[in-house]
Amino acid sequence: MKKNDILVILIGLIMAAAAWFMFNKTRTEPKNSMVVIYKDGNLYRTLSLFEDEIVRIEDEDGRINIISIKDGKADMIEANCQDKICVNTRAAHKDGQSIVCLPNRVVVEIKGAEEDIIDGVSE
Amino acid sequence: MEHQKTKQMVLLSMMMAIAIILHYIESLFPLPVAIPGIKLGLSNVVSLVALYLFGPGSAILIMVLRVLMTSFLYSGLSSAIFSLFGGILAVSAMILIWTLRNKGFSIVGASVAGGIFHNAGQLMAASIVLGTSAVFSFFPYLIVSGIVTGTATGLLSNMIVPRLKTIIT
Repeated sequence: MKKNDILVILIGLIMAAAAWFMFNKTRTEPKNSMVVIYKDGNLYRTLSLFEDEIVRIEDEDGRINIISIKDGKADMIEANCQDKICVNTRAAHKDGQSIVCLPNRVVVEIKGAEEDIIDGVSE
Repeated sequence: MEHQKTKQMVLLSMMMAIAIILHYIESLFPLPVAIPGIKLGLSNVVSLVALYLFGPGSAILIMVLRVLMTSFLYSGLSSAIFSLFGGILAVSAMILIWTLRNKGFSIVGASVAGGIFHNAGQLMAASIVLGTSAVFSFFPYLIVSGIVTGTATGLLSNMIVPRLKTIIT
């Protein structure tokens, strides 16, 4: 370990802090957030974060993901993927948070309603 | 000279085998973290050692062959794209630091840079496959884990390289 190695580590930590700040600055807890679910890279469903629901996704290859929306939190409660990373991910409740199941190609994302309006205009 | 070449070829093949086995062992024990993509990167040790013993060409060769072999053997081709993306970025970062090895950067710095870029590459591949940039919210955690695991594997390589050097010369 030499002096400049510390420099590499420091640059990395600064990058991490910058990235963390970027993603957390925008995370608020508004009352009208949406849960956006993507499957295979395509929009699957958009639901309100504040209406309790259980969403079950199953594709032709038998890949199953079950997402629960309850008390303003979205959580992956079941998946038949190998790594179970998505199931172990904490429930998402702030804008910008997401749960990803890479093997089954499912992404659950929390989006603020404002963001959707901006997206709609720019499209 | 011929003797030297044979020696290098045998060593590289053995390192290749070690890389494949390390990758397999690592896949048996997933770290209990709720963030995708975090792992020790033990097989990166082999690319790193190859880089400092034989130079960039060997490091790239070991990385590409290791990814292709492990993908064919265990996980399938779609994961080869992920690993290649991360692997190429990681090895490039390592080579960059390696060229600065006389300017105060040691193998630990190369390992840390490799760890960070490996994770960044995996994340980029994931965002392309999933068609969303949402995965980048994991980025800060992956950088930090890249630093931690990179330091660990770097210190390990630091112990291995001098020992192997006595064999090849």
